[in-house]
Amino acid sequence: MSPTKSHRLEVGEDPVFQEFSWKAQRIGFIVMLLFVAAAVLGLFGAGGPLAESVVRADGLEVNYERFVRFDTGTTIEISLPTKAGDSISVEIGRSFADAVRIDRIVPPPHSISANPKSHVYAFAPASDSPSIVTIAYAPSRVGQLDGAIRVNGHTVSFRQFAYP
Amino acid sequence: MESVLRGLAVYAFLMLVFRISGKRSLGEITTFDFVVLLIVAETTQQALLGEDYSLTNAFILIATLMSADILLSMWKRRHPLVDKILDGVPLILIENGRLLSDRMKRSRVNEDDILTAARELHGLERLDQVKFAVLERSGGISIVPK
Repeated sequence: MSPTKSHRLEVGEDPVFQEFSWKAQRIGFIVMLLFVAAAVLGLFGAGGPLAESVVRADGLEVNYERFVRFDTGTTIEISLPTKAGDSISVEIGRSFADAVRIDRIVPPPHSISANPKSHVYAFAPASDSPSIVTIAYAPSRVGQLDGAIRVNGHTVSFRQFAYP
Repeated sequence: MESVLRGLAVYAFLMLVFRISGKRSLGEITTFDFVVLLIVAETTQQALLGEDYSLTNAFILIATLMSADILLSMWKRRHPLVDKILDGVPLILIENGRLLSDRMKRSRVNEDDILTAARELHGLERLDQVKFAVLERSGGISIVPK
């Protein structure tokens, strides 16, 4: 943009700054679009192709969200490698249990206890196999959450990132 | 992804509703219009946020709404038809001093509205001092005095 020589109109035009500001706007817009695209992909949680993950070990399967948000509900689905008639105890590692607020467990556990390393949820013997336990919770901390779930001796660990 | 979809859905719905309600709904805003707008904003907020009050969600929603707005403005610039559909077209209400009453009726503008605009913009006293009155795309009335 070339500067205009207007001697009549008293206006604080600054073509150099204007040029700079247009450029900054364009870059800002591209960054904003990338941010939205990342959100669509699920990099900030709440759905999207990259949002969910699954870990498996010895028939134990845990579906969880890679990215979660502070104080916003999310769920973990645990598929248990049980045979009919087995009694089940699900242990959730202490560091994870302390970093989240557990809202609901489906089916409801038979008993709940805690030891220095974990919270233990015991369920009545399963009638079908495999049975699924869903834990609804909300992170009460921001940052990386290291989760460990142990079911009848099988352990899986996973990592979540909680955005503010 | 959910936040982006919510944002886009609300953006599209609001655009549709405001387009249906016509220009006058926002052009010359009255106190009551303003109150209705506040209620719309409040309702929209709940639909947008759901139960997710995280900063991340707010940032995603803001970026989504602004991006949609910018992209739409780019699209409108390239395609005049899109521009017309989304923003409408200006409408002449007084032509060479002659009132086009059918147009005024259909766009829900009365003489008082035109007189108000004439007084505010040019300090005109009577309708016969107005050469042209145009209902602009923004919803405001512009006046060309005789």
